[in-house]
Formats: sequence, structure tokens, C-alpha cells
Amino acid sequence: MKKIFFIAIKDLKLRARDFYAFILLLVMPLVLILVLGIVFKPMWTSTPFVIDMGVVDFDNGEFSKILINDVFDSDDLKSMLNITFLDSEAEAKDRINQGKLAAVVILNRGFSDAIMAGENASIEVLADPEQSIKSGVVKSIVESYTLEVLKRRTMVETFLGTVAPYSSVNPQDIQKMIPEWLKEIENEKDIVLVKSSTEKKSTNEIPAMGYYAVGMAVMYLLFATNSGAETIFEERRLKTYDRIRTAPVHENVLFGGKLLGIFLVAFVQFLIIVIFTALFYGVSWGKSLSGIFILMVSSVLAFSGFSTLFASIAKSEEQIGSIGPALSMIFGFLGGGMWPVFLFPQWMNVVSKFTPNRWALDGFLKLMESNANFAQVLPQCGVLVMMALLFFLIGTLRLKARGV
Amino acid sequence: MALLEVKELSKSYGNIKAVGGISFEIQKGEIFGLLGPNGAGKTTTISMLSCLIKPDSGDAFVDGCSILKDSMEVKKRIGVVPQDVSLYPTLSAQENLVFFGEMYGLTGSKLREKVDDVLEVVGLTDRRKEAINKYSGGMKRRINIAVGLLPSPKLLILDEPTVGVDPQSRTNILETLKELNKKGLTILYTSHYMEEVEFLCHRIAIMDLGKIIAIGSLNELRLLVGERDLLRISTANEISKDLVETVKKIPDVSEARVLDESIEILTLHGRKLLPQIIEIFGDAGIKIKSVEVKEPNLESVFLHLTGKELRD
Repeated sequence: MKKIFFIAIKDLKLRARDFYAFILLLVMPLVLILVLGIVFKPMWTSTPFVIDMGVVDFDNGEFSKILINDVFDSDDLKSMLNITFLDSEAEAKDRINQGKLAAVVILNRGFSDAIMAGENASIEVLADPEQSIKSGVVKSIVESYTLEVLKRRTMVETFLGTVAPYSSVNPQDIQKMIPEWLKEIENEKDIVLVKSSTEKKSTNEIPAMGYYAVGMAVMYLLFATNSGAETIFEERRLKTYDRIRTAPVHENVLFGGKLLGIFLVAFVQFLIIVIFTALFYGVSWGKSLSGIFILMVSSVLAFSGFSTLFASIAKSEEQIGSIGPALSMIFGFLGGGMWPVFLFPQWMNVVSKFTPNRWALDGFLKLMESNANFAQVLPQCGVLVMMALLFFLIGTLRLKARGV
Repeated sequence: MALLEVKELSKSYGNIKAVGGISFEIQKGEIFGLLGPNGAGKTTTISMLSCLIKPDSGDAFVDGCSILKDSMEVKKRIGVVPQDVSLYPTLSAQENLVFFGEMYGLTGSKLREKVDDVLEVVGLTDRRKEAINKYSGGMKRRINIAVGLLPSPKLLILDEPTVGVDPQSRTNILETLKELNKKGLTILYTSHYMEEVEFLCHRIAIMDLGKIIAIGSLNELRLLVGERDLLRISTANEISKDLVETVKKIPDVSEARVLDESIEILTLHGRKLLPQIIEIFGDAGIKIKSVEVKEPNLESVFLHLTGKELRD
């Protein structure tokens, strides 16, 4: 077992002496974190997502007021919604055609009375098709609101139809209480959209420097593990691989040493980036040291496994050297290392989950934004370790079959 | 008992028979030379003996341990110096030696002492901290040998260790090996330089096309050629095939072949025959630039046995 460790330490020493590796694996990510952190700082610090919307209130009733004052103007939404009050539907259409508003909510006359009377009530939403995401958000807020109203009205109707006739409470008193029950909607915190906007807001609480520290550190992990995998071929070229084999070293020990070497190189690189960004860029990696450690180990394992698999497919050192960086960039982008994941379209969010980058990123962001603990990042660690096992298994079998 | 016993060792690559059933023995304390041109099968033989590749058939025993069944035991008993400089260029000589020492299971003070010893043997103690890529070719070769000495081997196997080395370093390496042998080290030395093998080896096996075509001490091998001399005649003109055939017909000439602008003739009583040969060249209008008469050596043995030159 000692020999595995000696081989790995030797590989670490060789990487440390390699000036090109120093530039690629340490200087580059640290410079990129700094540059991206500074360049994209405004995107993180200012309100990133403001929706210009309009309201035409023909109703002026209780429920219109609730929607306008207690939902649209709630603490959670008011910074995101920039509301303009309009007088007519024509004006609303005009503003939308000009692209000045993403959506206009029209509250028709008698809207509140209809709800109180248990009749059909509707809210109209006019949307700018060119601002589909923003208008979609407005539509969702309104839908959530109407659903909540509907839910409560059904509750009241059910009560009136089933319980009230047998109750000792005076039906007239019940009728008086109904508006009060319905009015409590503004206190309802389960409105879906309000909840999702809350999530988005909290992601933004991580500064750009922090986000890119994670993104780049994770992306450059693959550079590090690939450079480690290159050494499997490098040893062949230098003939040191055969030289080790002439010593009493079992093939599995030699192979294990190389894999541990790949892991060590990447882990040390990651550790330096974490410490450096924490000390000099002021990045907070979270309060759970054990969480950071377990996530680092899982991430490095996953990428080490991937590079082993890559080495088993590659035909030469040169192939790893040329395809490897491109692969790292693609994984980095897909995994959210270059572009914030919350701005990804849905399909990309799905694709992104197939990369170890995304799971590592999600885990670290969790540690950073909500000061999650060790246990809370275990799901991410679990997926990363599963990926590592799968990659290692296929890679090792392939490499052994090739006699590498 | 022989330290190394090789029995009917064979290895093929596709249709090419790299080594075709060779057998030989090396006694303790002996320097044994494996001589042959490039492609003779020397490196394949060494690779099988170092347990790097498995033979198709046959076996070899180092100190009684089979290369097939006890490869780990064999590896503990041998030191291998490969043809290429197999070192980490960015690590220092000392770091390389420490690492390979660890691979042989050495640690702590034993390792440090051994590294000091081998550096002393190859005369590079004062340069130990320099990176290998700062070393000259000869110095790299010496560290390459030092790695082979790390396990205190019973048998040191060297595969053409002087390729690409300057004459001074070559002499140094050969002297070092002689010294090590004097201290009891058994050596298997392969080369295609006959001078090295003549200088170093107690016994020699000549290999060609994967087979051992002759084996014995230098004197025993010389006897294969008999009292024949090797005449090398350099000419100013091209030597025709007809002229070579004419020379071959001279009684006592056993072999004649053209090499660039010279002809090599293996013959009995070379000096006596020289006037007759010069006359034949004169009649053919060939201008002679120089004539050299060589005593029988491994070159002439090889020529005698194969009809080829060693460096072919």
C-alpha cells in the first residue's frame, strides 16, 4: 500500500514542478474568478429581474385591492414588479405593443362582488409575446392568486353547504365572517410564484465572486484530473512505466498509485483555490468545514473518475491534451460554471444535471447561500460519488483491457 | 548452480519470430554478453527476463526463481538498466533514485544509504540535487545505471546502456561495470558494439534473427573463424559483383562482401594473399586507397557465421 502512496506523491511532485501546469491549473482559474467576479458583479448586486407591468383596475373592490396591495406590493415581489396603473384596455394594449410593458393585468368591473357572491369572476392578463418569460411570471402570480381565492371559496361553500345547516351558529353571522376569511389571502405564504421568486432572490445573495469561485474551481478540476490522466501516457513515453514494472510492484499497485495521483493533484488544486479565494477574494465557502471537505472529496472523485474514463478512450497523451480542455469548457458551461444556472432554460437545466459540475456547483452554492451543513449536501455528494464509481469502473476495465 | 538459466525461450509478434527458442546459462560472478545487430532479439530477450513480457514458450530461472511462476521473486533479485533513459526529467537525480528505491521496498535510512552508495558508484554525488533534464547524455546514462543498482541485485541486466553516449562516458560506464563485477556482481550485458563486449564480457552469445548462433568465451569464438584474418580494402572506384566473385574464388578466402567503397575479405594467411588480391584489383582497374589487416575478432566471427556485418 505504501507504494501506491509513493507513486501518487511522485505525481504530485511532478505536477508541482511543471510551470505550464501551474499556469493552467492555478493561475488561470484564479484570474478568471477575479475577472468574472468583477465583470458580472452588477448582475448579482442590482435587481437582476425587473418586470415592467401594468394594472387596469375597473373593479376597485376588496379583492382587487388585495391583489394589488398585498400580493403585487408584497415584500417579496415589490422589488421585482414595476407597476404602472392604466385607465383603459386600449392604453394597455398600446403600451404592450410598444414593448414598454411585459404584461397588463385587467381586473374587470364586478370582480370582487362576483367572488363574494360565489359567481364566476375573471382576471385578464395581456402579455407581450416578445417578453414571454416576464409575462409568464406575471401570469403565474395571477394564477396562483386566483387559485388561492378559489381554494378558499370552495372551502367556504363546502362549509355553508354541509356544516352550517347543522351548526348552532347563526347563518347571518357566518355570512359576515366570509369576507374576513377570504381577505386573509394576503397572509398566505404558500403562493407558488411568490415562493419561486424568493428562491431566485436568495441565489442572488451569493456575490458574483463567490459564484464564479465555485464555477471555475469546479470547471478547472477537470483540467487537473485530465492532466493527471495524461501522466498515464507520459509514463509510457518516458519508459518509466516499464521501469517501475521491472521492480517488485504489482500492476494493481501501479494503477492504484496513478489513480491516487490524479486525485491528489486535483484535490490540492481545489484546496489552494478555496483557501486563496477565501483569503484574498473574500469568498465565503460556507460555515460547514465538514460539508466543504466532503463535497470537495466527492467532486474530485467524480472528476478523477471521469478523467480515468477519458484516458481509457483516448489514444494518446496528445489526444487528452487537445480534447481535454474543450471537454472541460463544455462541462463548465453546461454545469453552470460560466453562466448562472438560474438563467438556464428548462432543457439546459435538465442537461446540466448530467454533468458532475452541476452537482458540485449546487452543493457548494447550498453551503454558501444557506450555510447548509454536512448532512444537507449529502444528496449532491451521493450523486457525485455514484458518478465517480461508474466512471472509475468503466475506465479501469477499459484501461486494463488495453493493457495500460 | 547457474545464477541465470534460460531454457528454450521464445516470443513472436504476429508472424515475426522475435526470439526463437534460445537457451543459455550465466554463472555467478560472470559478465555475459549478448551481442547482435539491431533486431536480433536482444531487447525482447531482456524484456522477458525482466518479467515485462511473457514468453510464448520456454522459461528462465533467476537464482532458481521462474520468470513465469515467481515473477515478483525474480524482480527482487534483478536490477534492470533499460536501453532508454527511463527517468523523470524534472526530478533531481536524488529524487529519481529515492522514488525507484521506494519501488524496490527501500525506506528510511536504508534507502538513504543505498542512494548515497549508488551515486558514489556512478560518480555523481556532487550533482545529486540537479534535475535530470540539466544532465548531459552520459550523466543521464550513469543515473540510469544507478537505478538498476538500487536493489543490490544478484543479476544486473543492461540493455545497450551506452547508446548515444560520448566515448569518455562510455569508457567510464564500462570501467564502472568492471569494478562492480570485481566486487561480485553478475552482469548480463547486451550490445551491438563488439568492442564493448570484447572489453567487458567473460562469455558471449551472438544473436541473429532471434537465435543464438554462437556462444563461448572470446577466444572460443575466435576459434570459430580459425586463423583467418579480416582484410579491409578501401577503393577509389566502385567494386563490381564480378570482382567480388573473383575474390571469393581465391583458395583460402572464405567470405567477401562489399561495404560502401570498401571490401571485407575473410581469409587464411591474409598477409600472404594480399599481393594476389591487389593484382586482381589492378587488373580490374580499381584504385586501392588503403589496406587493413585485422586479427580475428567478433566482427569477423559474426561475418563468418552470418555473412553479414554486425552493424547491418
